[in-house]
Amino acid sequence: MVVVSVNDLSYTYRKKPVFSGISFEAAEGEVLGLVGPNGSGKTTMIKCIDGILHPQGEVRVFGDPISSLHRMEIARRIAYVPQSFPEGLSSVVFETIMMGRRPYLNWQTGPEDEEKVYHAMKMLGVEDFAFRKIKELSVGERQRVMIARAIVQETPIILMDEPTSSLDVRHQMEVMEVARNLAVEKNITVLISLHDLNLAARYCDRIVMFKEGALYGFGTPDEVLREDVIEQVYGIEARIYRDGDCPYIIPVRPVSRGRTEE
Amino acid sequence: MALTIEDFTREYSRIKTKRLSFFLVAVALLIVLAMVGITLGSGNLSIMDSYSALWKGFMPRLSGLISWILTGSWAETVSDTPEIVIWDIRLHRILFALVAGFGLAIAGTIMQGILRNPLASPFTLGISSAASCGASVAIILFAGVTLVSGNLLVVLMAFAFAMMASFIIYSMARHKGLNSSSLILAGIAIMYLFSAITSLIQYFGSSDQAAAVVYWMFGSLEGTTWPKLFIVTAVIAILTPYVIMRAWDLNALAEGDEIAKSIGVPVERTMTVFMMISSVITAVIIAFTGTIGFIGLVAPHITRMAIGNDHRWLVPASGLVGAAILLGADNLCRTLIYPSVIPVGIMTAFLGVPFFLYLFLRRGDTGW
Repeated sequence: MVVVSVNDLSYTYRKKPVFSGISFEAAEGEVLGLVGPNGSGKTTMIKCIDGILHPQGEVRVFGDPISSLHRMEIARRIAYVPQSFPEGLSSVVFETIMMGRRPYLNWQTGPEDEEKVYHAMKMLGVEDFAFRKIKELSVGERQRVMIARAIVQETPIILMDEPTSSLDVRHQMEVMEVARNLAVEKNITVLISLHDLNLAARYCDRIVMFKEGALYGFGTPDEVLREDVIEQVYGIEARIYRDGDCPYIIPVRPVSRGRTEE
Repeated sequence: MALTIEDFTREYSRIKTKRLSFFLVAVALLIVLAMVGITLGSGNLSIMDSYSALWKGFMPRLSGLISWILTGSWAETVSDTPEIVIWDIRLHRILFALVAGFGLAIAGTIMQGILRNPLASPFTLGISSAASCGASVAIILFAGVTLVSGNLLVVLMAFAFAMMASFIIYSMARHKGLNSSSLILAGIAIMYLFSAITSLIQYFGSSDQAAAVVYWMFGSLEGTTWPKLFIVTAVIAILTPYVIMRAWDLNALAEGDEIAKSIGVPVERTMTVFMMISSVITAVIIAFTGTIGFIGLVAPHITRMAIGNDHRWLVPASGLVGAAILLGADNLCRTLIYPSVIPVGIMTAFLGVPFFLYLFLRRGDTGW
């Protein structure tokens, strides 16, 4: 079942197109990776899907155009893990996570909200920081707090904007495992933008590849992560090996600019 | 050692208890300050005289109020001097200090929350300098120096200018996309604009008029009356419950526009509503009192440090702290160089500035 569908989407920022004419879709319980070089429009795409930005074209969530839904309704369908944390924020960890319950809260929080917050903290291994201030945490710990908040929001769709970029290897894998488990166990659709192609290859069901604001490839890791595609998109020579079921990419060297620009 | 769910819920309820205690302590402090305040001032009343006059005057006025509500006519009460001193001079001033301090603190809390800026307050956004400008226009161009404190025109102009300033700031920021830094910049621009206009008007006024403007800008509770108290109380009593009810929106906005949207807050509309509310509260208070600074800045900070950033508690608690600061400052104003009374706006600045610096220098951490 198609949960998120992006149809002919274009977004222009200050008269410069960020991306244009992009279409893809994500199925129920799927981990969909968005990959591409810096500035290729991944973050903007995620914000458009969550209705934070207003692009031309159409994003549908469970068949409804996102532009027709009230913010609260969107918040019950889509959770968003931003790439960075806003400055000046000082809340305590558990309060930050509790905020994810907001679409369901009137005023008072109940024992079941506390329970959900606790279990999400436990899942991400941040329960020991529960009463620390956010700004006392490392960047990686904050990242996991944000993911915990998305989990207590209990949405069928979670968007993660480069959740692994400031984490060490172990935490990168833990975050990807969490994403995988959410998809497999709770049938949640996870859209996740990534820089690490090997994480994408290992954990994503399908991959959307962006190049300079255009869709360059959409399919399984095997279909998208090929040597020629990587050279065209990233301008590097790479070798692809196989590791079990998935492709394993080893970047070799940057190719000269002349070759990538035809 | 891993935190179990029992530890977590226990710690969470400990935090809730701490917030409640802070609340109760603040209320107790307010009662004490009010009880002290009622005994201060001219009239040569002993402490016992003051309290007995307060008590003696209560029932006649209550029955007077009831008959006024029922029949529309105020039954004249016969009062002795202590009763007049307490009821017609001191009490409404004390209550006004409470209500105004409460309102200014809440307005500051809202602005800091939605703008995510610890320095945001009705004053840094230029609203109070606009009110001063409105007052000086009324004093110099229209009214003259007599009856300054009781002059309806001064009050209306101050209110209108304050609202106009917040409207201008808001539309400018809105035009630029309404993010929090553009609002602050717009506020600073507005502040300088209105200060310049005020100076210009003062320059053309007579020296008496200029003095009246300066006096207005000190900020003072000298001119309070029961009707003024009623107006300010009504506005704050209507708006505060709404703000507390929408506290989750403030919590969400404090996390940033995008995050607030992603957890279900219609950001632009909500910010507009909160801007309006804090502007109206500020404007209605300073229109009557003149510029009383630092309450809206300091009270939220103290409260944040004590009980954290959950606006469900922060908003009412910082209101109580603001009330305590303004009432305490006014009590000081009425006793320090007795029988003269220092304008309370001067006192709040004297108390507020060192305290603010102390907070920053000692902790480097003011809850933000």
